[in-house]
Amino acid sequence: MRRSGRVVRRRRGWLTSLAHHAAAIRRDTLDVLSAIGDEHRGHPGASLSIVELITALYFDIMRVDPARPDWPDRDRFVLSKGHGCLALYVALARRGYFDPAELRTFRSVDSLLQGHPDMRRTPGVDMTSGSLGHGLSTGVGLALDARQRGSPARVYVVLGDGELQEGLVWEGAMAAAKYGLANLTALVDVNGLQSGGRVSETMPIEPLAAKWRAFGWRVTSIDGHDLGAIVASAQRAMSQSRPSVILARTVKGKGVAWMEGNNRWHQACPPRDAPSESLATPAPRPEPRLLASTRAAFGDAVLQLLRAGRDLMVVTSDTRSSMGLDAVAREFPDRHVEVGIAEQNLLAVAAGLAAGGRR
Amino acid sequence: VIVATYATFASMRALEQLRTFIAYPRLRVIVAAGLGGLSGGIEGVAHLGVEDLGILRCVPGLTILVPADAPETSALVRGAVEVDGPVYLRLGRDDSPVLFDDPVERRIGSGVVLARYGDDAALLTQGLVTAEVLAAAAMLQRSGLDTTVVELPTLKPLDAALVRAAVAETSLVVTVEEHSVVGGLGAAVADVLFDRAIGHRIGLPDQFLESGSPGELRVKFGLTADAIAAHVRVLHATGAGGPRAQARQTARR
Repeated sequence: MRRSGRVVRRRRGWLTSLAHHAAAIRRDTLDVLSAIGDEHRGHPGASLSIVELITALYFDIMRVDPARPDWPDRDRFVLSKGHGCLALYVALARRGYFDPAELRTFRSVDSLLQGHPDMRRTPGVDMTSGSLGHGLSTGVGLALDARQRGSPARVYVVLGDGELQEGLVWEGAMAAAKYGLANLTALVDVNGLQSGGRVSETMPIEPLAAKWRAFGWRVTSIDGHDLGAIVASAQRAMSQSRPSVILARTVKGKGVAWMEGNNRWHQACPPRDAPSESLATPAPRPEPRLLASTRAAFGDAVLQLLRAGRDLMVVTSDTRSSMGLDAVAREFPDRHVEVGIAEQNLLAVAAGLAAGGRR
Repeated sequence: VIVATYATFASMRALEQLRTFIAYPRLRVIVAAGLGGLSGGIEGVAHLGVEDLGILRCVPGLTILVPADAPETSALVRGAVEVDGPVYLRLGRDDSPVLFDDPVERRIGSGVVLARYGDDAALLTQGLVTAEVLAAAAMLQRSGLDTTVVELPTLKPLDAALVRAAVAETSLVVTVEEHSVVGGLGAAVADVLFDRAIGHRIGLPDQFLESGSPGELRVKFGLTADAIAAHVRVLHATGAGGPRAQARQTARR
């Protein structure tokens, strides 16, 4: 087929071959996560849900050349949900951008492979990312640059669904529509979970398709683990006259029975040689007596103040669990406001709450 | 009102909301910021909160607290809710050494002397690296170098009196912080020690300004040629350049 000046020819068995790559990337991702241990723990759930998206992009859709990572006309990839980067690194290593032996240095000091993507350190990474919400805007810039240079390069941005709570995403979406960036495709990893729980409870983002459509984008909804569907929808996006978004329904922790849909594996170290069927929650390690976390101490102190009758409001940005405030939210639900992953909203809402005279 | 996020996001992404909509109207908001310093290290630069204090120290009226352990965190949270204005509380992530017996007493704005082996050097520190500084001071003492360890859990307003006292008793001042050497504790201590000892800074005060034409504001805040010349004349006459300047003046006579 010929799309947007590009000829795509497929060999027989291409889909089976893609599935083989995806399985290998999933296996290697788990191996690395186990090998690096708890000290360097990555994000298993968020890495595993994007394996098919990454595989389809790097082993079929994108025009790249690992021997020439700086080729000006290569397609570009931005992992806006940068915390899922291990799946990307595994795919890059498998495509030959660097030695797969590097993978086990992930998150260690002096590694090529940073905790979130770093375009200056890792061959094959086109854009630095990691602070949620920025990838679509950097993708807009990359797409504008390609257009201005007359380059056929296309730009692919993978976002998380929780990430869509960041307002900046929608600023980027507006800009892409304004400039009719047909060379820009966004893929949203709709796994329904974020750090602190369900997206629908933390900060609802639906109706997602209607939102993107209203922002001027062409919208496709697919099964994000269906390699054929990912390839087909990305191909269709190439012949459009405006930016396209692929809403890819996925399962967080996909491929590992005991991780699927279980948010305990948002950030954690999977056990080595874990059974693939079921696994009891690993027993917590005994706590050394003279160690304690300051953010846990903070959460406890806030809880004590509320119990003592202090007139306080507590506002979180998907940080309820990670900042030790679960007990506060449970015991004082009317004192807790959750704004989702949206730090500017967080501080501005707090300003309003405080301007009401509250301590 | 207490908000919880991470150091990089509180100090950079939401900086304008913090500066213009919380600090400027002097609202009582405590911004608790996890992953401060190296504690978010495995995440890489996007989450490494090592410039937060330097950035935020420029915000007028913001109290900045940097606890060294869990019990001190509790004490500073209890103190922070009494502050009549915004507070930034820098926290870590995983477990770290407990240095103090709970409950510990801390006054916001006051530093504490944690160890006094001697006056060979003063080690000024804050935050989670305090545990390392205390261990280093013990090692130094065993090798015959006696130091004093001063902890400054309030970065702003800094306990300037304690800093000056520590400096007066020793010939070597060393600051140790889990933050860029630009803008943080070392810079805050240098600020205290620079004026009068070495020179003097003319600039805009550490407060929110107001509307006015640039010319009007220059007049009001002493940035006209006349005001600068007058200011320098007074500083020169009073020997505000410190011992170096005074020595040169004496030599000239």
